[in-house]
Amino acid sequence: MSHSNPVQKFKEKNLFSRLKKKDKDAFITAYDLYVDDIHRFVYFKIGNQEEANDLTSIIFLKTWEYIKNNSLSDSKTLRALLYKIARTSIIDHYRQSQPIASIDDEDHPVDVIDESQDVMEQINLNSDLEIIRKKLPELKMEYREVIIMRFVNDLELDEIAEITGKTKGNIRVLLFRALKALKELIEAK
Amino acid sequence: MTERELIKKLNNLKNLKPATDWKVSQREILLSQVENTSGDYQVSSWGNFWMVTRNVFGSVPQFAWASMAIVIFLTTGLIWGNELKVAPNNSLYIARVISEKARLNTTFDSAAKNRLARQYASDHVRDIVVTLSNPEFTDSEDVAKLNENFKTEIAKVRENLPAANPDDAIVTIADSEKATSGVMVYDPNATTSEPVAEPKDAKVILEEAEKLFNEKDYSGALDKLNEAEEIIK
Repeated sequence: MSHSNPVQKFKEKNLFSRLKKKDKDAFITAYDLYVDDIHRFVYFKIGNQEEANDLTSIIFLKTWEYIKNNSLSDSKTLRALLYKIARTSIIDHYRQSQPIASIDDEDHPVDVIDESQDVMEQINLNSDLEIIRKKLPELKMEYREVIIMRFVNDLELDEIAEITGKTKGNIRVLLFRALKALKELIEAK
Repeated sequence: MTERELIKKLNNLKNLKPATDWKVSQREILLSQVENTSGDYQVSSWGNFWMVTRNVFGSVPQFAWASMAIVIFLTTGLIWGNELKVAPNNSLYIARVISEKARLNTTFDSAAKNRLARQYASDHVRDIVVTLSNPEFTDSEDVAKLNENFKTEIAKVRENLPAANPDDAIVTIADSEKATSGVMVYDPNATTSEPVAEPKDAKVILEEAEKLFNEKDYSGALDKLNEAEEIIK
């Protein structure tokens, strides 16, 4: 879900404005809009589908609670808010329990692909997933996180900066290093 | 694997989505939980309109607004710029000059183009003189610039003065013998008060205007310019 399209940006801004007024319908629309991205983010961070499902539900509920009890600042975007809550939820999750399986766990293959995707797409996807399955978990968590946000979920640099509390310059450097590290890992196979 | 290929592969991962059934069931659960919480959404139609308008402005990048403003400025300048009688020291003067240039470039009849060029140059000259005659206008840099512009513009007026047309010349009786024999000849040097002498007179008057301008006699220069204008007309 990229922000580069002005129409998309307008829709997101409008949605955010409605959420500031605690509009429940707007929140459900936000769920439809962002559930895939948040689920994917969680999944790649914790590496387990069932836990990703549970955590995604918790994240959306926490987000509604936050919206209900706080006034949303103009500078924030809904996406940034969701990712921030996702990050803290994942940290809480790690504190409370150990993951039972992850994407680098051979005994627990993942199956999060929607059945509606066509065969060729699935083959390509599986091949890409295979690389990520083996190599992405070997990356530092910090690198993995920015790669998912930027190159998988298409977040803007300033959004990533806001979510992680770093500067845009830092994020650029981090992305450069993360890509380099991932490339080296893949080529070293 | 290049960096580009790696990014492409990472991009492909966005096709990973949770199962549709799970999404639908979670949506229902979420909806029921959200419905049970307090939180009212009441916004007037005016409030809604204001919200949408603000978001439209917020969604379009600033450089797009800036580009639009420039386009509107230039379009307005092209259409109405030559109607603007702004002084050469005015910031809108550039719009007037652009508009005049555009109009000159879209005039294909050479006679009309010359007439237009002369008219614009003549207007510029007059505006420069009026501006410089203002005692409050003292910025030496601007004064020097306008002096320079005056010379350029007055040269343009001279260049575009209408040439003497032999067809319009007065047929004079040059020779009494010929007159008696009824032969009429064309004498371009014949001195009359008719249009054949106009270009020369206008040139002379323009030279006088330039001289007065150089002597900083702006009102005298302006009178001469008006005089030249009358003759050219």
